[in-house]
Amino acid sequence: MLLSGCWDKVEIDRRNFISTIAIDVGEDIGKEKELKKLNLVEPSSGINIKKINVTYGFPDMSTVGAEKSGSAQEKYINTQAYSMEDAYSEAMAKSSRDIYLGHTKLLILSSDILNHKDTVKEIVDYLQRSPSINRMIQVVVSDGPAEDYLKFKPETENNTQYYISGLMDNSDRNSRIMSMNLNELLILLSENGNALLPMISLDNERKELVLSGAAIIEDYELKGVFSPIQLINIQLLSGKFKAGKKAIYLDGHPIDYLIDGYHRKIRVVQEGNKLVINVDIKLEGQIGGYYVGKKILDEGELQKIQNAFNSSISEDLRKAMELAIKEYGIDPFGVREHIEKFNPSLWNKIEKDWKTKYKESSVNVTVDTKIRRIGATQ
Amino acid sequence: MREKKIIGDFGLFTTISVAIVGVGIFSCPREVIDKVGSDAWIVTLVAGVIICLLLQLIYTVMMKNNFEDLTNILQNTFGRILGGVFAITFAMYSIYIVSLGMREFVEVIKLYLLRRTPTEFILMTTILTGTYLVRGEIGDLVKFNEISFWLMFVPAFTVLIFTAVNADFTNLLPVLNNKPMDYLSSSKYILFCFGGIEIAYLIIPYLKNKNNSSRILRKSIMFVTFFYLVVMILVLAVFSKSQSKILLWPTITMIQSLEISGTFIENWEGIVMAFWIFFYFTTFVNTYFFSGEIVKNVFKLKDIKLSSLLLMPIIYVVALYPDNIAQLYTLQFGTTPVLLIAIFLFVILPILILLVGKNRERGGNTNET
Repeated sequence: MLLSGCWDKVEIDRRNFISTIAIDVGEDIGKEKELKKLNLVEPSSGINIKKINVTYGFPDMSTVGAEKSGSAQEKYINTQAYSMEDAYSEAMAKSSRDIYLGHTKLLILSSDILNHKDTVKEIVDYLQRSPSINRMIQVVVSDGPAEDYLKFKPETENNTQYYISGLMDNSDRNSRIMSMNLNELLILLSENGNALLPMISLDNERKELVLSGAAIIEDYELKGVFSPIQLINIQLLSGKFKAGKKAIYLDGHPIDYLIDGYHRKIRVVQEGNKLVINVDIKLEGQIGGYYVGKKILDEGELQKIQNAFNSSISEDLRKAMELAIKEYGIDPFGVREHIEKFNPSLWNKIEKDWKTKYKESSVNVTVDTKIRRIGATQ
Repeated sequence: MREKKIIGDFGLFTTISVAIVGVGIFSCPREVIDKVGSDAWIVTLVAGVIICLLLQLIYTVMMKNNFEDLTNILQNTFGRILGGVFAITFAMYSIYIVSLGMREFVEVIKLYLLRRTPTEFILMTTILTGTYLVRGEIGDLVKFNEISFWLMFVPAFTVLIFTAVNADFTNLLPVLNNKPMDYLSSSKYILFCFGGIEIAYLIIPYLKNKNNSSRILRKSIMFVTFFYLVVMILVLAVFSKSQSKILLWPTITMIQSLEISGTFIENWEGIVMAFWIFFYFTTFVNTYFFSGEIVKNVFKLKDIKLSSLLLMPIIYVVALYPDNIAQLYTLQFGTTPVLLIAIFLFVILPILILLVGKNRERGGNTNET
């Protein structure tokens, strides 16, 4: 009885701790439509189709040790498969060790795969169903084949996974970067199929890997991309803003406004047949930089700057919100959840034609900036 | 009837608590949230009140019958044969529910901890360990409950506090936005989660201080309700209702998705799952003992060692019977006979005992005069 736990024994040195999973389109992705017609009766014909290309990255344990410093070099197993589970067993067959997914830190989805809705749904279901996958994995979308990113060697770190995770951890201090883990993604997808995912892109000439804004996912498909500047606006509107800066030009010079306090309130009312979304945003922060010789230690002057920021930011945000609503029809702001939670009677009325109602809604954004500090000079 | 009064107040409190909190806590949030969405916590609260009343009923029955044990009460009230049949039904019902619970427990273990160990093997190990404990006296069982109470709830609450960090409590809104029928149908699941209160029949006769016990019973139900409430609210707050509906065992996934930055332990679920084993095991052992005791008394067996051996194969077979997890849940909640028996045993039977007892008293009185 004491030894009953030994049934499942795996020695630790027989395990490959996968740190990154990169998912690309396979060579047969074009057959997706054909595959849809397949049914139970003809199982074998679907098996050999290479729909996805999955690369597992894992640190080379032999380079980790007491005397060696830093993070380990990365190694890869590349598989062609028709599903994620198939990729897993394929990887098992290619590896001398037991593949262990419990310590995975990063999931890279290529932008190409996000154009194939059905395959994405299959992948999402796998990630959701599989008990061994850690739900705190960070998820990013790569511009171009995900495999390249895994093989890319950044300047400052030994492997990509460390680098990207590090970048995303900075999202607390800079809202130009967003971070998204699998748990949050699955919740968003199950709520309405909409999500924003951080996007990375590779600059081959300068050998740089950068986070370049956010991919817009709607109904499991890639609809567009927000630039980092737009992303700040979206974050401000959605209540997920952590820290960052905004700038305006005053008398020909940029003023940077570093935001460190933030509060958002959203109100939705129905006027006639139309929804009106009111967003109130309160910001607190300090001036980061202006121009030598300009004095701003003056109540009137500060008020002027605050007003300038108010109108500039609110205009900016209104445009961003209208773009998201009218052009993409996505709702990263939580408008829908807001109505559902705080105004259930309205929700019951508009639930049926929510999509059209949402697209026709008008937006008001009011911003109240407070400049609390101006730095160490006048 | 043995005149042993060995169990203290704390023993009663822990026994009731650990016997009730079982594997139901894993799946229950999904079932309830699926039906009533964000109002799940209200249903939990109401269920707690109902269970409290049922437990009060049990206590009244025991009190009116001089705190004898359940088999004696039934046989004195309904006669030897009918009383015996009722008692055996009670035992079988408990064994049936706890065996299905065992299967669910094994499925959870198999999915998260022991992937390649055969189901049968995990079943056998659990049953044998349980039998070892049941073969002891009731004093040993209560001592075990007292110890596992701390082992269960201290880690559980610690983990739950950490999960609250990522929670969004606005997910609890809107309040009371469902049809009344939905509340009714969802309360079925949560009431099953409170299964195990029959242990009061076993434990009350052995109490040192019986007058105080009604208060202790209320306290333990309040504690369990509070625990369920916390779990339910956190599941809702962490996952929102749409994701909680998808997850088979939201509570486990919630613990899995726990991230505490800066800690050296990364995958919490392994540790937590190990503690969760207690949650089921205590329910199992207590119910097993309860049924064993009834079988012993009805068939006038010498001691519980023999009756526990008789029950062992039944548990094993019932636990192995469901083909898959879907059938398991249908057997647990979806079958009307089970539901009817449950209503009969927990609501109608105690009331019947009280009524018949009263009639007999009156009858006895008229004969004397």
